[in-house]
This record gives sequence, structure tokens and C-alpha cells, in this order.
Amino acid sequence: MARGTEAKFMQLINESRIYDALDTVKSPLLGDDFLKFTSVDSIKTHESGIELSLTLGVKVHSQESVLKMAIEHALSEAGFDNVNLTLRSEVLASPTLLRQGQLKGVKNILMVASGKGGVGKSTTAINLALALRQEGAKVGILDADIYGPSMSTMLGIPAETKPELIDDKYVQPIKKYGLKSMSVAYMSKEKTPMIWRGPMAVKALQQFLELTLWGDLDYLLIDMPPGTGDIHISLAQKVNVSAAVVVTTPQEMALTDARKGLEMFNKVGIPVLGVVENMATHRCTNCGFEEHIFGSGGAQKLADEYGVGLLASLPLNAQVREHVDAGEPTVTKDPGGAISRAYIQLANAVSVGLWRCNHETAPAPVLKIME
Amino acid sequence: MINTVVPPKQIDFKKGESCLTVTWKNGQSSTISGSELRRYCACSECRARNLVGVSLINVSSELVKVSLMGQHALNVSFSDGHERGIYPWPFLYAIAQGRGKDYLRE
Repeated sequence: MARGTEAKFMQLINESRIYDALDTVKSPLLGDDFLKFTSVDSIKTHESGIELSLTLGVKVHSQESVLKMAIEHALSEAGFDNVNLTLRSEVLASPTLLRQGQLKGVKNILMVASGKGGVGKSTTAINLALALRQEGAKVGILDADIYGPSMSTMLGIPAETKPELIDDKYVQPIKKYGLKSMSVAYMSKEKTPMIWRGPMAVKALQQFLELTLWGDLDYLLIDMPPGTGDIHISLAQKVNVSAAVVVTTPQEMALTDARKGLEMFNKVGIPVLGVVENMATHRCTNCGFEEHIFGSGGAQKLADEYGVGLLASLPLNAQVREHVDAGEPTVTKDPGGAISRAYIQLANAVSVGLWRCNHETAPAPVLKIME
Repeated sequence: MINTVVPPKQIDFKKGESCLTVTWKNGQSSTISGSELRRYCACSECRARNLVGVSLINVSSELVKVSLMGQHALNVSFSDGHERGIYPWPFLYAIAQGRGKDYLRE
């Protein structure tokens, strides 16, 4: 009996030492306080060593081995040598999402927005989605740009492909490169423009969100139209987006618009994960000289101003453009390339940011109506 | 300071009682009557009426419907048919504290 108590006592001491050791883990990706977010599933102490199982709230396949090494290192520093570490990952669901209709299996909704048009929102969004997918998450993308849809071009989906209608009401999203996507372009002909007034566009978009059979998704990205108009407001109010990312180019003109975008998100209570600086530099294909065509440091300044992070600084590169125009975005076309790595880094920063954000934000208020 | 009270945790609306009970993030709770919400409605029409001094409450102002506007506000429909009032959390809190007028002036 006494021995049993003693063993239990030892186990407790060991556990607290393990927690202390985990607390010292430093990871450039997850930050120093990663234990706060990570859940420890089980600690088992054997004669030969310990068995430890952790669950991360993000999918970061490319970083897992590095993280494992960092954890094992921290444990061995604390005197635990034979560690059998299992790292599981499951994306944390946003507490604020109102999951209506077919959105009930969607864990997070992320807006990719900008104030200004033409800064590469769609290109960034599609590459980000594919990068998240490559890191192991289940991802969907909705093209919310009703007036200038680009998803079918970027994913190389032939014009005759139409989404399948189910029960005369629901639509099956189109799957390509492991990505579920939906766009107004799938419903219309290439040459037919959507000549709709605001309320019509808003209604259509809401139907896209709620009547598409998204299934289980870790992230649903919404590729927003430029500006701060009708569509933005209603999406913010009707679906309760988890967070937003603002894309901008470094030039002052784009920054003023991006600032307006940030202000809008502040107003409607959507957390902004950070700013993505697109077309930051251009490397001359002839001589290799790197030029800041649109100026430099602007996005960093904007991020500092609003107390958000600069998530990534992406180059202006002809290949990126060629790849999306050809219907196979860079992340899938050239997965090992420098640009794909930059997108993967962006994806990691976004997923970690969202994970932290979901931990910190209060859940949506409960509205109780009694008859 | 306002961030410690908003967003609210829970909003109770009992049909027929014409008032809301709001439980704030810090655990504090307040009861806001329908007529108060009606008086401080900040939609453009009501603001305009306020400016020219036309009285607002001519019919009863019972609450009919309450719904959330995303993460930032509450939308309220009144029994006089008015349904345009949107109350962001800080505004709702100000009304609960009896400072609705000051909030609008700011």
C-alpha cells in the first residue's frame, strides 16, 4: 500500500518536472509559450523511460520533426533521456463561428482581404490554401469576388465543369489538388458578367457559403473582393468569420487602402492575424539584382501601427503569375522551390496565429430566447 | 477598460417581458428595457428625428426579435415595426450604464 502511494508520488513529481521542461521549449514557429496552447494527453513513466503524447492545435507537417527535436532536447536537458514522444495534431475550432447550414463541419473561416485591388489577393489566397493543404489540413476556398471570379482560371478547371447539384438545393464543391473550391465562375459562362446589385451579390454569396457541401474542413478561406463594401459587411455580420489576413503591396497607395481594410475589421470585431506584403522585391532575371519596385518597409510600418504581425514578405515573380495563369499554382507546381517555401511559411504563420487567436478570443455571446 | 466587459457572455430575452438581461464578460449583469433601446436607436432615421426633435416613442416599443450581428453587435426589432437598430457591444454597455446619450455624442 505504502509503496503504491510512493510510486504515485514519484509519478506526480516526474510529471511536474516534465511540464517544467516542456515550458522551456523554444520554437521559432510556436513561440516560447507554446505549452499554454498545447494539450498534454498523457504522460506514462516506465522503468526504461517516459511515454509522452502531445496534441498541437495546428497542422504543420514540415515543422514537426524540428519541433519534436526541440521537445526531446528540452526533456533531455531536464534529465529525461528515453522519451517516446507522440505528436498529434488537430486544428482547434474557432469558438466564435456561427455554424449555420452546411458550415457545421467547418472549424475556421479565414478572410483574405485587402483594401486595394490588384495586390495579389487571389494568388496569395490560392497558394496559401494549397500550402495549408500541404501541411496536412483539410482546406476549402470560396471565391467571394462575384464580379471578377478567378478561381477556375487559377485552378485550371475547364469551363464545362459544373458543380453537381444534390437534392435540388445543395451543391458539391469542385475538388482539385485536394482543395474544395466554390466560385461563381463555376455557375456561369466565361463571357457572362454578373451584373448584380449589392443585395443580390450578398444573397448569392451567403447561399454559396451555406448551401455548399463543404463537409469537414479545418480551414475555409474566403478570397474577398477588394474594398470595404456590401459583401464584406454582410459576411462579417452573417457568418462570423474567425479571422482575417490583409494583403498589400509596399507602395503608399496600397497601404492607405489596406489601412481602411484593417479599420473595417476592427469595427466589426474580426481579429486580424497580420499583414502579407506581396510583390515586395523583384529579382532581375538577367543580373540577379533585387529591387524594391514598390518601395520597402511599408507593410512592416502598417503592421506595427495596428499591432499585428507581418506574416510574410513575398517577391514579385513572373513564375507565380505564369503558374496561376496556367491553372496550377506555384505551391503544387514547384513544391520544393523558394517561393513555395515562402508560402508554406506563410501558411504556418497563419495557422499558428489562428490557433493562438482561437485560444484568446471569447466565444460568441449566447443568445437565449425564452417563449 | 471596455474590453473587460465586452463581448457579453450571454443575452437573455424573455418574450413578452420587453427587456433584455445581458451578462457581461466580467460576470456583471444588467437589465435593459425595450423602451431604453428604442430611445437610443442609432440608425440614421432615428438620429435624424432626434436632431429635429420629433419624438420617437409614439407607439409601444416592446421587443419582438433579437439577433446577433456577427461578433460585434446586437440587432433588435421593436413592436412598432422598427428593426434597423444595431447596437455594438460598447454602445449596449453604455446604455446599460445610463450613458447612451454620451456615447452617441462621442
